[in-house]
Parts: sequence; structure tokens; C-alpha cells
Amino acid sequence: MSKDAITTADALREADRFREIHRNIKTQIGRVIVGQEEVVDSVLTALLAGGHVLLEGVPGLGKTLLVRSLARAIDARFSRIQFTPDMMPADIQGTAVLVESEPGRHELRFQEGPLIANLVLADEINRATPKTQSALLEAMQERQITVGRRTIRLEEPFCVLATQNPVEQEGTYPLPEAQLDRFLFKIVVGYPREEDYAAILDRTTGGTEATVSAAATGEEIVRLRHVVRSVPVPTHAAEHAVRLVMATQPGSPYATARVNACVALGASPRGAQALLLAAKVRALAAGRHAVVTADIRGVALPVLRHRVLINFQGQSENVTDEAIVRDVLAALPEPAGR
Amino acid sequence: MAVAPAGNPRRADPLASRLDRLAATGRFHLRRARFAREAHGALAWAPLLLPAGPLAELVVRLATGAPAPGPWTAVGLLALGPALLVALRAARALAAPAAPRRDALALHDRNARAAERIISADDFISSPGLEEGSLQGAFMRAVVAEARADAERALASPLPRPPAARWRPHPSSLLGAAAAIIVWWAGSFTPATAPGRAGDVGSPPPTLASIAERGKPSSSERAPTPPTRRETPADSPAIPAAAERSVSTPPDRWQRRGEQPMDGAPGSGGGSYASGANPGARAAGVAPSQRAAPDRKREENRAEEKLEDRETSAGGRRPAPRPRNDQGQLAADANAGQGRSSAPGANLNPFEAPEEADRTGRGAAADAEDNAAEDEDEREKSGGANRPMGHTRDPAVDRNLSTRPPEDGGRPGDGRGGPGEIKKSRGVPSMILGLPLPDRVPGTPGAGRSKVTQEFSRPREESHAPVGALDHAPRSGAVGHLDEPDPAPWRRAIVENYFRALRTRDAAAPPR
Repeated sequence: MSKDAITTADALREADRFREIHRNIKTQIGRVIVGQEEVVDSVLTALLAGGHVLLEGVPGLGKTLLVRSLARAIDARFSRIQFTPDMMPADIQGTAVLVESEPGRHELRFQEGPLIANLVLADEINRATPKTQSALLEAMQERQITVGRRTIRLEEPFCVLATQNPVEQEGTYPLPEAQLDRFLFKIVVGYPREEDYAAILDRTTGGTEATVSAAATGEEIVRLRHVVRSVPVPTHAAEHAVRLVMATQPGSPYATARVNACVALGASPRGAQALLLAAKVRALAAGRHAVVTADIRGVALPVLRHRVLINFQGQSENVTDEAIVRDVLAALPEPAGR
Repeated sequence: MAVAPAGNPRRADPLASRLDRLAATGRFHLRRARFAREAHGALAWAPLLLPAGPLAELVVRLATGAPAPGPWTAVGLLALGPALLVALRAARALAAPAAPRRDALALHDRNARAAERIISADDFISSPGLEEGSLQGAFMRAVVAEARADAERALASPLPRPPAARWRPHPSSLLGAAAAIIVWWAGSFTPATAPGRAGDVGSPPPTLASIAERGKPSSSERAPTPPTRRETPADSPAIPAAAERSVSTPPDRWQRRGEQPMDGAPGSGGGSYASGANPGARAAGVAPSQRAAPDRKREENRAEEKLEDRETSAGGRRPAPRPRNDQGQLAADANAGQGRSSAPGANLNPFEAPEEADRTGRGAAADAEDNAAEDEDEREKSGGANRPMGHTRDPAVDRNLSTRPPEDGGRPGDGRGGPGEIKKSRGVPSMILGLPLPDRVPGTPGAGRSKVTQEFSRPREESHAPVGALDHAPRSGAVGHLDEPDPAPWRRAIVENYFRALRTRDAAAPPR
């Protein structure tokens, strides 16, 4: 029994440590980013769950600043890639370059690309060609990149935070479904509230500049990820996650009439994995030691919205993926809510 | 949710027994709520079944002649239908399977505001991962420990009773109440409501004559039954003679042609003959399967006509008018009009022709002669394009290549037959005009010879320095980094032994 008591105490200590680091990182980011609490929470959740984030929003909303602040807050290597249509995979992965080793002798050396970092900001990712976008696939899923015969393991924590502009669609290459599925969250960054504008203007146009100090290290983030994966999921919560995912698939027994009519492709099992992982982070951050259905429903929108493909009828009726997810959430009540 | 088996040591945990009690009370609460919901639904629709009892009683009373029920019985009959509905819904609620354990615990979870800790604890307490020393097991134990206080609190706080729903009858069920009133009102006018037996109300007292009359067959039994559509017209003497003639003619005609006559079988449409109705109705009464019969007749008539034309052309004379009776003439009219609506008799149905002739009774023979002449003219006029000699009523040209005039004194072959310079032709080419036509095909026919120009030139030599292979420097080394893998132990041993042997031999060799 002593072993049980110790382990339980350790678990509680780990949970407390998780909450403390989570709170500190949020505090540090909040010194720079005003408002956007939900966006900051979602980015932190994705980072602690080991996923990647697709930030969608118009320019000027602080997406790049948020990612840079997050990198400073966790004291991690940060790199930014500004995607352009002429960018090649070697530009982000790295390539072998000819360098002079001795006088008169040359050799090929591998020059690392900006993808080899802890936090990668892929700015305007939809401006790159599919070839370059696909170069991110291996890095995001396998946490490694392969150039020629060289395979490089990426250092953990590794997190890709990509941004895209939903307005400018000319000259862009929409992300393919396989690429979208790799993102744990798709977060839509909206305009700040009216009461936030004063603080934003004060901090950005004043004489003093807000600084972000490190609240955690990369090693601590990796450790917290291990804690997150240890959070148990009761059967009813797992079933709820599965039903939520299945409800987005047309033709499934949980699909609503709107899903059957307007959805061409629903979420995959990777969506259910993402739901549980994100719900675990949310449960720990809320002080719970097990996932509840409210945690799953709370992360359903950013997890599922980019995994739902609207068909032609839905597009003609202006049905959005967000409306589909909200419809599914309304159709599937919580167990305790019946 | 799986309950831990009896041998599970977790059964001894007081939390498990509390969870069982919570599940039992939650299930009872859910069953009661379901029962209440079913009862409420039954009561909402109950007025619709108000007339069921009185209606059944009325039917029984009319059938058996029972006396009208008393007021209390009537009230009981009114309540019979709704009571049955409520009983059925209640039985359904009772027979329903018990609610899942998770749902029952979820009720208490929500009531105690336990944030699903009670459900989770019930799940984890029977999980094998609870005993593990992993971090996940520790989290499970933490959840179970937190749930103990929640279970205590849930047991202490009873579940709230479901709010009593107001009885509100369904709007359409009010029709039932109205129907019940109508049934009651109708029942008051039935003979059974008056004293005495059924059938006595409103009728004079029975007399001996009426009693004797009851023993006789009724007028409807004595009257001959009207002929049905299956009966042949000959069985019914009420059908007029003209109709009898019209009825008897078609089968004879069908039998003469060796085809099946249309009988009056149901659905066949042939019953229109027996009914003697107007022609339009008869045409509409012909079944689609039998509308193929006129087509077959037209085919036969067309074949006969072709045969006659062939005989006529072979004899080289105009065929004599065939003796036609009324029926045959009208049928011929119908056939002649195939494909030409302007021809007389084109719209006539060959099945109707004999009946029309018989019914009108006019000078059918004279009319038939006129019609035949007009039809012949019409046919020749319309066929003039294909038969150049048709409009002159002349026989076709002689095509037997004979130079002698025909034996019947007709004209000889007019140039297209017999030996001569004029080309003889037969068949379709004889119908084609041999007029020379100018060539109107656009283009330049006969544009002249094409000019071909040849130029001779010799290939010119060009000198070029040969490319020497020695200009390219040989590769001096490997490009890029090449791995040098460690040799295998056996290979290393071979190399080592070789060099040792070499050195030993060099050392042993005498110096030169």
C-alpha cells in the first residue's frame, strides 16, 4: 500500500506541477498578448498534448507575436519560415552544401533548415506549393526529416504553428486533407474585444516594451507531456469522443441529417486521438485527474472543424465546418445531461 | 458499465457498495420517470379512445339486439378505451429493460454536482489498471478517492422527483370526445334503445299477412338477376335483337380468320360487345393486349393487297373491282387509310365497321362503292410520286422483256422492255429519272497538273576539331562522404594473419 500512496502522491504532485507551469506560461504570454485567452489556451493545450496548431486569421491579430512569445516562455529554439510559392523542400529541411574544408579541398556538409527547431512558425503556409507543404508531413507526424540518405530526429518538444490567411485565396495552395489532419487544432483567431484595444495600443505604442521570460524549459514540457498521457479516460468519456467523431461521418448511426446532407468526409480516428489528448490537457489544467465529457466537448470545435470536409451541397448552402461541429455537439448530449 | 465480479477484492470496498446503492436508486428513479412519462402520454391521447367502448357496445347491440345499457354501464364503456390505453402504456413502461448503470449513476452525479467523478470512479474501481503502480493507476486511485465523498453526498441527497406534468389532452384527441358524443347520440336512435326487441320500433304490429309474407321469398329473390359481364348475351332475353346481331357477328368473323375471338372475360375489354354500348366506349374498353389484334388484321390485309397487286402486274391489266360486301368494304376502307388520315375510313376501327353498318341500316352497298372509288383515286394520287404511271390508271410497264404486245390488247412495253437501244431496267433503277444533271459540286474540277520542282544540292563539309577524351580529368576521389564500415571479425582475422605471415616471411628471408 505504501507504494500506492507514494505513487498517488507523486501523481498529485505532478498534476500540481502541471497546473503551475501551465499558469506561469499563460501569465508570461499574457504580458504581451492582450485578450485572446481562448487562443492562448488552445495553443498551450496543443503544445502540451504534443500536437501542432493551425492558426487562421487575418493579418495583424498577433499570431506571430503569440508564437514568438510562447517560444520565449518555454525557452525553446524558435524559427520562422515565411512560405512563398517558390520555396522548395530543401529550403525548410536543409540541404548539403559544398564547403571548403582545407585549402584546395571541398566537401559536402548538411546545412540544417529552419524546420530543425523546437517551435516552428510556418507563416502563411498556404502560400507554399504542395511539394513544400508535404515536406512538413514527415516532420509533423514522425518528428524526423529525411534529406537524401540522412534522417534527422527532431528534438522534443517539437511543435509546428502554422498560420494562414482566410481572405487572400489568390495564389495560394489550400492544405490537403492529409496535411490538415496532422494539425491537432485549427484555431480561428478573431478580432480582440473593444476593452482590449486600449491595452494593446498602450503596450505596443508606448515607450516600454513588454518582455517575456522563460517559465519552463523544453525538458519540462516533455515531462508534462508524459503526465498528460497518463491521465485516465473513463469509458463513458471515451465513448462520447468516439461518438462525436463518428457523428461527423456521413452515414454513421450518430450522424445528423445535416451531416448526411452536407458533409463529404468526416473526422478520422486521428480525430478521436486528438480529442482525448487535448481533453487530458484540459482536465489537468482544470484540476481534474480524469477526463470528463465536458473536457472532450470543450476541445471538439478546434479539433474537429478542420477534419470535416463540406460537400458541394453544403458549400452551396453556406454550411461551415464549424456549424457542422456545433450541430453534432447539440445532437449528442452528455451522459449526465440525459 | 462493468460491475466488478464477486471475487474481486474491490467488492469489499465500501465505495463499491455505495455505488451499487446509488445505481439501484437511480434505476428506480429512471423507471418511475419513464412510467410517469408513459402515463402522461397515454392520458394526453386518452380522449381519442373515448368512443371505442360505446362504439363496440353499439355494434354488439345492433348485432344481438341487446337492450340499451344503463347510465353507469355507459360511463364504464366510455372509460374503457382510455383505461386500456393507459394500461398498455404502463405495461410497456414496466416491461422495458432497466436503465444502464451509467445513466443511473449519472443522475446522482448531476444531483450531487460531482463532475462525473461518480461515473468515473465506478469505471475505475473495477479496472485492472487501478492496482498498477503507473502514473495512470495513481490518477485512477485519486479519482476513486475523490469520489468517496461525492458518493456519500449523493446517498444523503435524494433524487428530486420529476416535476408533475400538467395533463393537457392532445388537440386531435378532442375529436374522440366529439366522436363519443356522436356515437352516444346515434345509439339513442337505434331500435334497441326503445322497449322491446330490435326491429319493432316504428313498425306497425305484425299481422298474419305480414307474418305469412315473411315466409315467402322476397321480391329481390324473385326478380331475375341482371346479366353479369361474364354471362353471354344469348342467356339474357332482355337484350334487343340488334344488339344480339352485333354481338354474334364478331366471334364469327374471328373464327373465320382462325383467330381467338374476344370473350367477355373480366379485364379483357371484350365485354363491350356484350354490353352494346357506343363505339367510343367499346374502343376505350379494349385492353392493350388486344389492341394488337387490329394490327395483325392490318398486316394480313396489307399482305393480301400486295399479293393482288403482284397478280395484277403479272397479268398486265387492271384488276377488276372485287365484289365487296358491306363488311369487307368498310374493312378495306380502314386498311386503305392506314397512314393517310385523309383517306375515307381512315379513322374507322375495323372491329367497329360491321356494327356501324348494321346499326345504320342505310344503303351500305352504294356507299361502299363510292367509298371504294374515292379510296382508289386517293391511293393513286398519293402514290403518284413513287409510281409514275399510277395517276393515268394505266398498267405498269411491261417488264417481262417481251416485244410482243400484251394478249389483252393493252399497250406494249413503252421502250423499257424488249430488244432495243433503250436501256432496259427493272426494279428500283427503273423509277429513277435518267435526266442529265449539271455538276453543282463546289470546287475546282480539273485544276490542271501539279508542278513539281526539284533542286539539287550537295552536302557541304565542315571541319571541326576532334574532342579528345584526355581533356577530361579523371576523378581523383570519392564524391561526398563514404562510410568505412568496420570489417567483419573473420575478415579482420584474415587480413591480420596475412600481414603477420608477410612480416614473418620478410624477417626470415636472408638479407639481399
